[in-house]
Amino acid sequence: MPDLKINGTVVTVELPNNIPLLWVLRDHLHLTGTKYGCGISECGSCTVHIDGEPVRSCIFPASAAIGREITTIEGIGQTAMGQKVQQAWTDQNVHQCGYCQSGQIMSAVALLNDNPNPSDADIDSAMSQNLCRCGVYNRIRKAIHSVAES
Amino acid sequence: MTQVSSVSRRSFLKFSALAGGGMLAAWHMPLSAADNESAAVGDAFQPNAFVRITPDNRITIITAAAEIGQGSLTAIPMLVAEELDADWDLVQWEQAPPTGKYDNPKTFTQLTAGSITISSFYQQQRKAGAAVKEVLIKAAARQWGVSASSLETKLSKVIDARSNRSATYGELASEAARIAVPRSPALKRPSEFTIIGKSKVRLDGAEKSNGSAKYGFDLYLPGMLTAVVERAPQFGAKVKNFDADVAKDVSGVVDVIEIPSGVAVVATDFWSAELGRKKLRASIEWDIPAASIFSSEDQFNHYDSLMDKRGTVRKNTGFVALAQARANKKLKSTFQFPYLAHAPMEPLNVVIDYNGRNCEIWCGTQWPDADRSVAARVLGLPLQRVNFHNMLSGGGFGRRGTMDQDFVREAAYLAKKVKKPLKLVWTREDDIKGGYYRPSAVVRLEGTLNRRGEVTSILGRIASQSVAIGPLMESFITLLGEDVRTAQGIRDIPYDVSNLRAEVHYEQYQVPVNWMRSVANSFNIFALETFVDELAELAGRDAYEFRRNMLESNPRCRRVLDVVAEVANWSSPAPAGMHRGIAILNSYNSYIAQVVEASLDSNQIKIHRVISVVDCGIAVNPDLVKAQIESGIVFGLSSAMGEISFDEEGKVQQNNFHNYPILKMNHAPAIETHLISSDEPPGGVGELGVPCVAPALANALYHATGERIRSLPMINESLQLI
Repeated sequence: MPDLKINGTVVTVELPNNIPLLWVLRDHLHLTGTKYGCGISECGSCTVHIDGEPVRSCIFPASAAIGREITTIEGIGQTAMGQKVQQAWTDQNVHQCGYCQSGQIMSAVALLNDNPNPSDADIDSAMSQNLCRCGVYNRIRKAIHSVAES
Repeated sequence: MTQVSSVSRRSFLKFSALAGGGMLAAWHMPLSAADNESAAVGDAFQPNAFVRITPDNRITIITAAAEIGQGSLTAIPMLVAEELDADWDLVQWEQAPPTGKYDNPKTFTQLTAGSITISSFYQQQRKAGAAVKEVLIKAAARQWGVSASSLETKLSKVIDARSNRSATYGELASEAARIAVPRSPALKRPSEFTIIGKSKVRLDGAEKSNGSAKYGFDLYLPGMLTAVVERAPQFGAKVKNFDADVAKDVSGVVDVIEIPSGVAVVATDFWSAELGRKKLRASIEWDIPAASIFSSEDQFNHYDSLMDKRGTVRKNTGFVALAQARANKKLKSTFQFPYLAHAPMEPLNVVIDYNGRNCEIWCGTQWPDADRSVAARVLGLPLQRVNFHNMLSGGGFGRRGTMDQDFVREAAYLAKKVKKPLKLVWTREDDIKGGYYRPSAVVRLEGTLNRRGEVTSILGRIASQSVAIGPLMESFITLLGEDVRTAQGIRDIPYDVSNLRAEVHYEQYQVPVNWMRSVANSFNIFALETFVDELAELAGRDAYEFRRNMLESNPRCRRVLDVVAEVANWSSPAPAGMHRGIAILNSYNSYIAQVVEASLDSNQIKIHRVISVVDCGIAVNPDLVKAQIESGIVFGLSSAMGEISFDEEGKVQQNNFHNYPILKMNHAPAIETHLISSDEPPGGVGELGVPCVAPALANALYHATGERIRSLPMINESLQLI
């Protein structure tokens, strides 16, 4: 059985039937912060980092993550940027139902790691594939700017 | 603590190393299996159903309304904490079980819908807090041998200023437990509020930021199986036969079971269940009744044909026919609206554990008491053998509260056969194709003007399916506080029009329909507010002035309209290339006026800004009120760009977000929301922001194109967002 390195910890898991990483995280490891929203890479609720890059875990084969660093919403708070982004989300009342926000936060952290002072256009281009049915886009934008300014 | 929850806590601990720190503190244990009747829960002091104080001075507010994103888990505790003089930093939430004690005091059921949570609970929850404060003061007075009237309260402490001593609520809890709770405690005046009216940060914000918040989908029980259900491709079709073995050949698939809604594949995990279902699908034969086969085109043609016939009268004031006969000018417009799917980000799911004797259910739902009753009925159990835990919901918008409790019912049918812990999962495809839609509708409005250009009559005729089955049920449900009437928005227009008639053709289709955020306002207000713009043009008046002149007897509505016109600088021409549209709504005991600023470049629309002015009475948490308006605006724009449609075979043509689009961040306008300061009792805001934004946008685009938009979705191949 292969090993996966998740949030700095190595775990040994079975990977049956080309299972996507999302369902290994959720059903096998009960790391439930990463959400299922569409299963076809349209909504971004399942966003995690592989070697620091945001990927859609609902279509990313778990087997392709072997030997790479997987970071989920549960682990991102251990980084300085992750902590800042999570705090900004809480402070700005970004959440409503909150279900898509793990994915939003993972996309925002990747953006800010890459580009510490993003313009509105940069935010649009990094965040527009993360859907939010509660429609909190303006607050997400404001929270990202607030992290950039801090 | 139940056995189940302690086990799930252990499995939770097992993975906490992966999860990093900070999660355990945010983990809300489900309530104990027994209804929390007793005054003492461990060492805690629980003087009523809503407040629990522990010796560490923490206060837990047990919140009846479901948290579907709207912020009830913050706003309701604020009501209690205000009157209790609680230290807000030490207040935490817990979602109430459906035991009858947590019914909405105005509707006598625990349905969270209709934008009525704050208005319904405003008095009850403040009284609950005030009563507990009186008990704590009496406890301190007894301990210190002083009169209660000499004591005051602040930040979860009773203070004796004369003797310079104080005691925390936690310290007083055991003494307070011996004192009777008063029934009619004194309440504060709004001028005395220190928590109500303040923009507090959401109590569930931190756990939603670090991934530890638990939605129904996130629950795992030991040995739990996962089920997905293959439902009929047409509504109303039934299973004829299927080949279970093709699915059972898939590794991990445990069972294949027929239930009333379709065929379920039960497996050790979701992925195996879904692979099994894909194999099963082709093997199922369906019995498709003739009534199940219709296309959207057929339906709209039928609805159009009803527009010249009288329907069931839902409102009749004055003499519309007479006004029409005497009219100086007449206008008639017909509007068309598609079915819409709620598409909450968390697809429907239910965790159910039935062992043949008892049943325990975990589910994010808007209607836990009805769900619990349905589960008991399906399983043939007395109600007290069904223990129900309402979880956080990843959005609801009405879908998590259907008239027939479809998803919990389905889970109960499965549990009856499986008798093991089970999670029922709807995929996004199941959700988009699964019905319980906002109904489609055709609306015709006829209006008349007199010589002075004033509106003398409006006749509205609507053809649609009723979300409450029919006119009788509509009246009944309306008594429960939920305005689900198909003529909502037309029958109760905010304007002074002395001759008003609203009629409905209640049509039957196999497609299940349900209330969706703003219910019939979601289509009727589009028709009304674009029609009023047309009437203004016919009268040769400005759209704002024209509305204003019809709001003599609705001063709060007139006020929001005046303020939005001022803020949007309506009296000055829009900047070159920019177009403005305006719309208003008076519903849920609240008022909103919105101005949309948009530009159009060939067929590309840019929505620049949406300005809203809101009067919702007392805004318990102003920032969360604004958040609801912002949310409503995005929801309303999404409703202008998506549709659920049926092909010739009666099959839904959409199945996921790629063909049922919702607004994305790059298309979201800037949003500016102003609240009118008020001491009036709180009105609703959850739906308030939804209905006006699309008609205001359509009114703006008319100035760009000279063409009226009367059919939704308005944003499509020919008009695209940039």
